[in-house]
Amino acid sequence: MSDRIETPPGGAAGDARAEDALDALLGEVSQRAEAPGEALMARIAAQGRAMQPRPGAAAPSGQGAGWLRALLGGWPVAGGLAAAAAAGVMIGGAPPAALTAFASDVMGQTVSYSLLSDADLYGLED
Amino acid sequence: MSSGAMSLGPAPARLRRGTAVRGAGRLQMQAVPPPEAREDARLALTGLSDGDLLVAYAAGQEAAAQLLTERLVPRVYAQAMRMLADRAEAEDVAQDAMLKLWQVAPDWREGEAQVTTWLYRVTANLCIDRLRRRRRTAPLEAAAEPPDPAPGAAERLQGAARNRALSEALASLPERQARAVALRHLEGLGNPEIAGIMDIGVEAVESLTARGKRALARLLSKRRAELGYEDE
Repeated sequence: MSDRIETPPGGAAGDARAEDALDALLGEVSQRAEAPGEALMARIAAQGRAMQPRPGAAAPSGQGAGWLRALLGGWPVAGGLAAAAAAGVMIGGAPPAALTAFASDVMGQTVSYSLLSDADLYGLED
Repeated sequence: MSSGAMSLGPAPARLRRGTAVRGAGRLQMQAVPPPEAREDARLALTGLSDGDLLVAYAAGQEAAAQLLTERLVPRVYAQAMRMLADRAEAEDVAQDAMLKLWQVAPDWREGEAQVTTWLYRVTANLCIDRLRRRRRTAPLEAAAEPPDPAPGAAERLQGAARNRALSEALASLPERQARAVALRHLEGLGNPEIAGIMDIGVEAVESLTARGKRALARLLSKRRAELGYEDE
């Protein structure tokens, strides 16, 4: 915006009158203190209560494993993933006989390596 | 607005369960107060500084939202009215400014800033945004007020007309000049505080204020008679 503004008539005297009038205007407006209506006060207070943090509520943060749970889709999905991972470990460590036979049928031949020979790793044997 | 820090002091035993207390430099919540202690809890909060009250709000103190509203909204609304001279716009600004306060409350750290200074900045910025929009559209129109036969009605109407004229002139100024003049001459803030609010030096504030006042005087010079200043 341009700062060029028309010079008031009356030269220096006009300038002085304009400044006096402005001082009076600023002084008067600065004393105006209009009060807000009750409806506005009630609306803002209600808005404040609605937005108020609740004591004990978990604060949103990027700390801990919260971000990972959120990324995975929350507790139900993360729990399912954990169960699937545990099942995979069990199958890998002590595959059921049916699974071994199925693998033989598909692959033709299977070779087993045991790092813990004869150990009942999961206590599955009586 | 209260600015004094407060010690909650000796409170009744039933109140101590549910009031904000100081701990490690911050207010912390104890338990939720029983219903009969709410009024006492409210009274205990009234002595808190604005910053402490905002921390209490963030900690979940039920009465804090109401107290902050009662304490801060009249000032925000009055500031917006002085700059905008329009009730509907001033109400919108007050609501928007307080919305920002509620949002910032959880991150507020007592002692880092004054709530009032923060609100002066937010309110002035919101008003400047509206003055900018007003420049691009039609000039402010006088609200259609019904005739008021009460004593002093003519003076009130003239006061409102003068407020509108000043608001229109502020809308014509460069934004930084308008902000500096409003904070200095309408809100009565000192130059150092304005410098903090505007993130500029004190000398820049003085320069902006002086140029803004000269521009305002020229803009309003033709309206002296209309505004009733011709013979003063």
